Amino acid sequence: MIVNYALSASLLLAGASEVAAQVTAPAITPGTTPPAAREVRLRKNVDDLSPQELAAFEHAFQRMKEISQANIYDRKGFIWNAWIHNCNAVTVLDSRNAPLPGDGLKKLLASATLDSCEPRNFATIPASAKKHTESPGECEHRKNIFLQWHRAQLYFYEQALRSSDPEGKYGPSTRDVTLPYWNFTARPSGKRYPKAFENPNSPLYDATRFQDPLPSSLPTASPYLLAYLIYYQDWATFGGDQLGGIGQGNLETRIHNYMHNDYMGGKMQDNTKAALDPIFYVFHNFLDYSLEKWIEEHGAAAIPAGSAHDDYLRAQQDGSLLKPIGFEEGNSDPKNPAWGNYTVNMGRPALYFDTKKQGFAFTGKKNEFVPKSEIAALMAKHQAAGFEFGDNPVSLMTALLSYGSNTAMAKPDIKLSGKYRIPAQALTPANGTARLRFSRAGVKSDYSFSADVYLYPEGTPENIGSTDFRNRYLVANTSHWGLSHNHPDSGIELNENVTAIINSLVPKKAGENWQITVAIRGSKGGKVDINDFSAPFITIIAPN
Amino acid sequence: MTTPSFKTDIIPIFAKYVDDMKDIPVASSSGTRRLQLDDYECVKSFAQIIQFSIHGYDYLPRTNPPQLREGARPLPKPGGKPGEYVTYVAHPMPDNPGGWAVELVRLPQEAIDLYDAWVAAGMPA
Repeated sequence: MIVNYALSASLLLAGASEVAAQVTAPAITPGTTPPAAREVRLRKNVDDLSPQELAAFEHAFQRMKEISQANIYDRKGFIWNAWIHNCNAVTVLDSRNAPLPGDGLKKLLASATLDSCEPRNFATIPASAKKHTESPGECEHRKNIFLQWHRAQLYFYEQALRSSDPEGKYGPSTRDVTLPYWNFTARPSGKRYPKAFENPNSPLYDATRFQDPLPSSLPTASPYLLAYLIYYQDWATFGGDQLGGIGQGNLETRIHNYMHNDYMGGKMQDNTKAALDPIFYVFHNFLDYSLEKWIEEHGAAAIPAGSAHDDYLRAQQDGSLLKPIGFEEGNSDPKNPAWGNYTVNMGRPALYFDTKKQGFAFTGKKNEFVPKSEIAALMAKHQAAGFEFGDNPVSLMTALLSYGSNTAMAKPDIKLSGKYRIPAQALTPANGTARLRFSRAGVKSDYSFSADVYLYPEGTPENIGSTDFRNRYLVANTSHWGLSHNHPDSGIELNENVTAIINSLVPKKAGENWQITVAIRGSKGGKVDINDFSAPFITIIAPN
Repeated sequence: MTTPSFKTDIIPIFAKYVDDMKDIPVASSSGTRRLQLDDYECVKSFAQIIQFSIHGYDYLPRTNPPQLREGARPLPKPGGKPGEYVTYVAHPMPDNPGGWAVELVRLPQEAIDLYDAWVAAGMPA
């Protein structure tokens, strides 16, 4: 389907009032780079969509599903776009045409376990037909391009939504659809999700998700923890480190992983199925908004040069969708003309750092994120200048988590302990940082778990069942999402900067032995094996 | 020791893994390509990623702090100080879907050394 966009010549500023996109500029030729200035369209909280906006958004999803039912290989369809996240290789008929009639799509979406990366599992793929392999995706996780990859994916997905029915032939026009976000650090408008996603008759619904209402009056993910990560963490800690560095970032581990595993469940528990659930897109859009807040706070220049800027983002997108300004595909696999009009990747991450340049921004709605001043106040209360860790009955980490219901666990499945001797001298930027680490070995089938880490004096009995103990000595927590298609022998590491905490202990506790205990629980009753884990330890990392 | 060449020395190292990786798209700062382990330009393009991956089993799991496997020669950390090595790799290679003991899966040390030497020599064809 050819899509003609008309662009306004005026630029809207982010944070301004929510103004619907009114377009008057000349059309552009699909697949070409448009003029430099784009109208900035604002992405809203999904609960703030007007009835008309919601109707258009739902219709866009419905149309994308219908496009896939006509041909599962159509790159503007729901299935192909899910494959962009879920699959690094799929079998494609040489004809590039395979309909999915009747209840085929319904059956696919009803399953939380069916492997959709193998089309033969749900579509008619004649054994005798000529086939080849294409690479729709796959998502990047556990890397310093995790956030950038998903930002690019959402950019193109928004274009696909708009292109699904811009003329309004089958329902409301989708020309002006913008991808909303779900702020999951606030109480949901529905029982567990935004109301729009709990209507069984809506194309946004997915029956495989966990359905039970929230047991607590609090949201699951703490908005204070999220804000702390945004305002106070450098890129490596927040978004992930380069190859050979400390690994995945805290937005991925502390916030994203738990939500996939333990909150949403169903297809969202599996990275090879997650993007088949429409809630994936509004969920990740809030993570993208969080990335935007980080960039507002620190500046895009604070993202270190190198892979975080330059590693091309793998995905095969439809070539007719509006590409980002500056898009180019680098020195990549040559295109196969028989495969139609497509891109071999989504360009470089740096293209997407300036969202307004690419025509989108977030609404800047008041109170969507906790202000920095409130986090500063919390830090002043629980980790004030001159503090000594352990003296305050509530550690900073406990305080940050307390605004969500996902707090430290009282009954872990396993515990491991190590020791650490408080150094004689405080650490400075010149002599290094203290990093708390523990690891899990590679396992045959990657499993998900949550972990809380405690630091306490050697003479203090470990008593994780006690609220007082947990509140006082919690220093870190994390969540690991076991990935399908993952290399089974890749281990994982928690790598937490505890310099401030260690330095607080130097004046009066230098030379003392302290205990570190990590408490681990399998995700949603899943098993964990104590033999897979190392004991936690603290190491000093020299500065570069 | 003669300078290793891709054709003579590197192709044999990866020969049995070519089929496994040929449909997997990999990203680098030059572009995205399906990893063709028997193609000089492709391996050269992803030389660093490959180097990190084959060093991914250098350290023993569950060791505190990380302990080097006997006989392994670790990879110096890019931009790091003397004595700093890469101890964590997200995706070690070769892949091990069967969950075999690492000693059975890891490339022989001689092969890792040869690859490192090839990279250090400027990756001659």
